[in-house]
Amino acid sequence: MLCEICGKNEATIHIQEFINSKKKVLHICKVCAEGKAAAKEMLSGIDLAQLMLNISSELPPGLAIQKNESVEAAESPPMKCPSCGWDIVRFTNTGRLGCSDCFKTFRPILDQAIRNMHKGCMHVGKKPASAKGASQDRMSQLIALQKKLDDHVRREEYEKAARTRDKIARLKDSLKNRSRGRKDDKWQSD
Amino acid sequence: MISGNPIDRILKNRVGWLADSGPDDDIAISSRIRLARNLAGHKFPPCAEPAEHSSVVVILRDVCEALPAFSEDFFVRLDELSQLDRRVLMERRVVSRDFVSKQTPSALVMTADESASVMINEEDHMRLQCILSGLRLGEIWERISETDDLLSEHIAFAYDEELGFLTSCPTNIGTGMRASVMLHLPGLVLSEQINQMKQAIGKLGLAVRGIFGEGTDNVGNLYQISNQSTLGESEQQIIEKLDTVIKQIIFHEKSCRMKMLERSRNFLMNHVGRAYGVLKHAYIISSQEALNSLSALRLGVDMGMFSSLDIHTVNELFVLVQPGHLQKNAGKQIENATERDVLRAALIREKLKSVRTDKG
Ligand SMILES: [Zn+2]
Ligand SMILES: [Zn+2]
Repeated sequence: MLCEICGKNEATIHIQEFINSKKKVLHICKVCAEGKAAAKEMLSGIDLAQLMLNISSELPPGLAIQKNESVEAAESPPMKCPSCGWDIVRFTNTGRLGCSDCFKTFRPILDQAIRNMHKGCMHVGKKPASAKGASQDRMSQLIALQKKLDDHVRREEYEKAARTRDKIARLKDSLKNRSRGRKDDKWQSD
Repeated sequence: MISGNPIDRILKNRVGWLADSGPDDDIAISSRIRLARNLAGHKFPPCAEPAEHSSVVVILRDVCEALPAFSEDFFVRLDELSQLDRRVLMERRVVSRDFVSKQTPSALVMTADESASVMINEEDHMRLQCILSGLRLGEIWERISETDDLLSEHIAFAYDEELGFLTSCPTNIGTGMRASVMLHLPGLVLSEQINQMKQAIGKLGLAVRGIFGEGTDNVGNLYQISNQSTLGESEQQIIEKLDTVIKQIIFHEKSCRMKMLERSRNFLMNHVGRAYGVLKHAYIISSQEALNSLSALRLGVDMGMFSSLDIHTVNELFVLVQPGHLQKNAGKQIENATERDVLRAALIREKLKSVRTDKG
């Protein structure tokens, strides 16, 4: 039999160990046995778990619960998101939601799950930079132009397509300059 | 000429998070932060139709390319790449394991040094990622948060005052942030402290995973520690806590090594020396044996046993010996595992050709 630690030498030493209160026999070689003994000896006295625990001030009990817990389907009406059509079956099968509104639709069953998964139930991190009107407009303009371009190409209206493409290029340039400008502002305020 | 090409190009690049030096990078190989973001008013990718996937890719490509961070951009449609090319991206840690098998329109935008990237249409519309060598979560947060700010000027994100950023999986809501550090912990493994450590980390609400996917816990003694919770704490709080815990782990790893060196020097030298012998002289080596032996070699370098070997060479080998890179570098698909094992051994011998052990 080969050593269970290194897998190379013949196992000549057989050690009984208790792991999680179950008896287990470990078959190992002489080299590994010496290493093991040395390691055991030098590490006794370090209670790592305790040490690590000292760092965390408070630990919510919810965290101990596994995140992949199955969510019980609500009793009578099968929940279905009015915005995207995602239903409770797909939610429980995939663990995923279909759109932003799903959070309202599945709220009753989500609440408990969220409490188990997370430290809290209220967002305290950063918020999206208040979407500035001008660039939002440019963004939706860009999306509209892109659709227009697709239409022109499909209808083989190449002249119109070329003009639309120019417009898109100009718009992208202005978006690009805006990003740069912002970055420069940031440097100056530092 | 369409597929394959862009990946051939990045294969020649050095991977920043492996090749650069960083604080505490003897043990903390790299740090990474990922932010999940979705477009308001669009279905999340798991629910969307293919046409919507395509339009999201188009919209987000334009926005990303307008960002200064991606001025020297690399854009690739994931669904148009071969499985092998996608695997290469996964091994370089720019796309997730789940992303490799995506069939629907999805894309990747990234910087030339691969430090910043955006996955488009993974399970969220955007997964921003920033990865750097060493332990530097704070620096990464500043970088990624700035990019996020710029994006949110152009895009309305799915956001709720109470639940924060909305994501397709409820485990990511709130900050949408997953911060992680890749640690090399051979000392804790050799001294059998690792399970105790894992339990302690779990109790702190952090996750520990092997870095090569499910069930690869001990391969290469590489572990990824990350936050579990994303709601109810600010990004800074999450990062500070992770950083504190990581520093503790690094401290314990170092003291384990010191003690082994003092009290069981022969055991440690034997462990490193044997691995070095295998890497230097094997003609057939499996991916698992290679990764485990590289871990021992890396430990030897850290302890000053190989002054002729740079730690970054070992880091890079961790990636190069994986099946995707091996096949890509050979310029062909190799189905036969033994054939790959032969190639792998040859690659390692070549890389370690000029390495000598120090006397003593
Ligand atoms: Zn043995
Ligand atoms: Zn929905």
